[in-house]
Amino acid sequence: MSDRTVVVVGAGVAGTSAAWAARRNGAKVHLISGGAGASALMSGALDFAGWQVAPRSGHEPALDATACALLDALGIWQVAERPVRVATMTGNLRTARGADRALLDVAALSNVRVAVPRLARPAWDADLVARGCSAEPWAKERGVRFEAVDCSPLFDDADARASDADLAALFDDASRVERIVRALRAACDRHDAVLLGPWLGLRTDGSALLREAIGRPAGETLSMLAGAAGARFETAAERVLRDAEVKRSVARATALRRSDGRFACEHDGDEGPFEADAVVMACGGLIGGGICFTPSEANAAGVMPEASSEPFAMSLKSEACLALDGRFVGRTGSLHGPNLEDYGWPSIAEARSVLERIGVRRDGVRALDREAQAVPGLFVAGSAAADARHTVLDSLAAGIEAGLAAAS
Amino acid sequence: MVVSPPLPPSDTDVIVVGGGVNGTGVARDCSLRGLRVVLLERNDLGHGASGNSSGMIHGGPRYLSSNPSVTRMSCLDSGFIQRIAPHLLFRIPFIMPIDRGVGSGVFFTLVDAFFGAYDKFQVLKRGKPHSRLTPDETRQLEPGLTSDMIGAVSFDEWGIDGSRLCAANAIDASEHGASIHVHTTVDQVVREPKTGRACAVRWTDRCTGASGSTKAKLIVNATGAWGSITASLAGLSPMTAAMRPGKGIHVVFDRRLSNHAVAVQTIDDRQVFTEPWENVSVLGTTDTDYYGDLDDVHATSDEVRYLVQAMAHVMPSIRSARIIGTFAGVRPTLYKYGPIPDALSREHEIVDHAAHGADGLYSMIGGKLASYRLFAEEMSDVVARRLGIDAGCSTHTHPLPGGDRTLDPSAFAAAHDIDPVAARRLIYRHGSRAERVGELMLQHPVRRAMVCLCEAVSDAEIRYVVRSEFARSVDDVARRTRLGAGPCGGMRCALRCGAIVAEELGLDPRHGVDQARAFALRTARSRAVALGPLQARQEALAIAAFRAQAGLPGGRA
Ligand SMILES: Cc1cc2nc3c(=O)[nH]c(=O)nc-3n(C[C@H](O)[C@H](O)[C@H](O)COP(=O)(O)OP(=O)(O)OC[C@H]3O[C@@H](n4cnc5c(N)ncnc54)[C@H](O)[C@@H]3O)c2cc1C
Ligand SMILES: Cc1cc2nc3c(=O)[nH]c(=O)nc-3n(C[C@H](O)[C@H](O)[C@H](O)COP(=O)(O)OP(=O)(O)OC[C@H]3O[C@@H](n4cnc5c(N)ncnc54)[C@H](O)[C@@H]3O)c2cc1C
Repeated sequence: MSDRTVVVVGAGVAGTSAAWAARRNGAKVHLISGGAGASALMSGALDFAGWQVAPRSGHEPALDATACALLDALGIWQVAERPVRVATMTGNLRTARGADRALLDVAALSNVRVAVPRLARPAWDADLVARGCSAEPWAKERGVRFEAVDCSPLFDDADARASDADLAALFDDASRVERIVRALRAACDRHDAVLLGPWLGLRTDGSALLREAIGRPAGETLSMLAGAAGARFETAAERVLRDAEVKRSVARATALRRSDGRFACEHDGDEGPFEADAVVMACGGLIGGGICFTPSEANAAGVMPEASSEPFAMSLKSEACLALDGRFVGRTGSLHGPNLEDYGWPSIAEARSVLERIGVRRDGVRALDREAQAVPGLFVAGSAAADARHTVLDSLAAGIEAGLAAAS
Repeated sequence: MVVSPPLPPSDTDVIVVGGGVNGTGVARDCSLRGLRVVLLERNDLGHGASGNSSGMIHGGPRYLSSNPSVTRMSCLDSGFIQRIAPHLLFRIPFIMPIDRGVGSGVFFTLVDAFFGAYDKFQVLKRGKPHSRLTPDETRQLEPGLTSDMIGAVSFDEWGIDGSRLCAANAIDASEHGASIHVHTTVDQVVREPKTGRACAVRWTDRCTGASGSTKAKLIVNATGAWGSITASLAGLSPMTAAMRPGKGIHVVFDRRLSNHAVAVQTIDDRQVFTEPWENVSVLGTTDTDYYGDLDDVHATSDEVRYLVQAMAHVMPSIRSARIIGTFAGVRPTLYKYGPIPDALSREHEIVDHAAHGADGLYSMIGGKLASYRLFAEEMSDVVARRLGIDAGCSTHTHPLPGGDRTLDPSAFAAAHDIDPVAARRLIYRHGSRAERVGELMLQHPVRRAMVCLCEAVSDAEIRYVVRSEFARSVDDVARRTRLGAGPCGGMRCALRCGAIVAEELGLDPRHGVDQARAFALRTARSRAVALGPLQARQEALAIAAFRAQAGLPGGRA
């Protein structure tokens, strides 16, 4: 057991995992975070890599016992032996390594009819979802048909304009579930399973509850942006971190200073700098705000920028440096900024955009400086790392590894 | 059931090649005169210069000193366009600040006198007279103009959505009997072996691969910058329809940055401007010789920086404004090595290829959005004369679809239970035809749902432009409606739009996904070259959102 103090920057999947793992190894953990990142926006599918590409055996890291323990503690995600198959809100089916347990996994179904209730939600077009899913080759092969069905309203008119995440929260209110169950029972009695939008609770296991109540599998599609899946993760992470007695501060870290083998984490909050023996940077990539793109032309005061500068920067200063394709990114040879022609989206599935490849230079979870030397006590995990996979399970596995390393 | 669009007929009076503003304009004019017309468009209506221009119906002040009659004609025609499509035009008041410097006082007086002369023609297009402004007055109007100036001049122009103008002309042509085919390219202009007369075209539907040929009495090449290629498809030398391809790009900001358009000089003494345009501001434009693929023109980061730098000279705050995209087009300018005496007085010309042994084939060279109706009238006069038709031109009196009457956005919003801002945008695009979109909305609540939140494009409007405006892909819908033109790059709407288009056309839903992905990639490339801090973050988010829902190209389960 460790008596070290670990500061974790960032409260997404990577930061939560790192804090939980470091606590598990006995360290005192202080988690500082500046708000929502990519994790709060996730779709609910759990991938290691190669989204939408069928998982190839042997290609993906196995989840070890520690990772399984964290999955248990969070209690919202399922990762089975076989890949899952889930539907999107625009009527596609796709495979994933695992999924939020509220999602309807259709992989196990065959020769069944899945009801898709028609409900008055701006982003929900049951006919379109049913049509799209039914046309997928997999569904045709397996005889799985999706059919839009009429359904009396599940929610009050007043909730019509609520976001999916807010609607999902209403499902946690037991007094509302009664009505939903009644409506679905009537609408879906001639079907074998029910596919709904991402509205089935943030705390309760809505999918299990429904399955019980209406006697057939029921679950959600993937969430669109800022939907229920991300909110569910945030709710679960909150609970896990509280249970693990992780100290939390809401602030943005601005710099890490190292002297005599200890760190002082400076931040924009009211308290003084946070002291630590080790730091895990789990501050996310461009989406999470851990990395910023500020070419010298941005916000220049006049006709010309002041000076040529490095186009990417971390949101907190440290000895660690950023790398792109294994090399540290220096100043560009332009007063204005990099040649942006390559900054578009990758046009090949396996390829990654510059915006995804950029990250903290690293050797595993150890952060490296400009000379490619490991900075003692400094670790990086998740989307903040160079060449990260930008998936939930990758952030989880790397977060655990970094947390354990920081604590020992 | 696949609802393939009908194939072009095997025989017609006039074939129009090209669905830009000139091609659709001719198709409309000839149809109104009672001729049978087939229009073939290789990409989509407005895909070329017409949908990627600065979107100004200007009155031709350039010709004021050399040939005022051209200015008079331009202003007159601008007035006509306002009359036939009042819903599509919006006023763009300009400010032109004059830098303090040697000789600037004299220059100011000249500019003032110049626009004084222009004022005489402004009445023809309902424009306001110019005014001379002091530096203080200028800054009161536009506080962002912080450069050292001796004053400014204001003048008046009109803006228009060029893609909508093409669509409106095509719809009207179709309603008068023309048959319109998008994504259908002409591969060959067939000539009679003995006489050399152009008598038919061979075409291919680029979506389905279907091909065939159509006979015609006359063929009009209205393919803009592609014009020389089209001449070569008739076995003629490209020089018989020579033009100088001038590429121009525009930079799009996330909101209207100013109340007035601001015109400034670049470092190489060209004039560029930012104009408030629909929901955004547009900064343009460049003019460089272009020899690349005309089907795939895009801006470079260099061109973007050149424009931003010029504007920063008078409006430094432009550097902290958020760019959300770029667009690019190629002007079909008249070909000339060195100055030609009358070049200044003419913007367009009709080439009769009888002179090259290909009787029956005409090429329209040059032109402007602002003068498209006049150019189309001139071309249609030639066609009518050749075919012995008496009917005269009525395109200046007969309103374009939706231009016949105005609708009240608030009443429309209330009647259809949609947001008033959404109603206003819908009515801008469709004029009185918004009522037809409204009918779809009333059929089912799902049709009212806004699929694109940035530009307020509803499920019903997407279905309408597929059913009634020839759209066949997400890209086409975007050109008709501005779907996905906002900062989010289509991350919320492209997939749903793809699903709707696929449903309407009876295509496999996965086709819709592929269309959405292609749209996202194309527009992402146009945004990348102008990437700034906020948009970089948004871009990373959009990539993640796409991966989560549909994967990027090649990646499907
Ligand atoms: C729309 C969307 C859909 C997705 N879908 C899927 C999917 O289907 N499958 C899948 O596997 N993955 C998906 N992902 C990816 C997955 O969500 C992310 O890769 C993962 O959650 C990243 O976690 P993270 O902890 O590394 O970063 P983040 O979640 O971004 O966390 C970063 C944290 O650091 C904080 N922070 C940043 N800078 C500072 C600072 N200076 N001081 C203090 N705090 C700071 C931020 O506030 C934030 O809390 C999706 C992502 C998005 C955006
Ligand atoms: C940057 C820029 C700014 C401009 N600003 C203005 C302005 O503010 N005001 C103004 O009045 N004018 C402006 N113009 C000029 C104006 O846009 C053009 O002159 C006008 O749109 C030309 O129209 P068009 O129909 O001849 O050509 P295009 O719009 O280019 O249409 C040609 C069409 O032919 C199609 N085609 C090509 N080959 C084939 C084939 N083989 N078979 C079938 N179809 C084919 C193409 O796909 C294309 O859609 C601007 C132009 C540019 C580029």
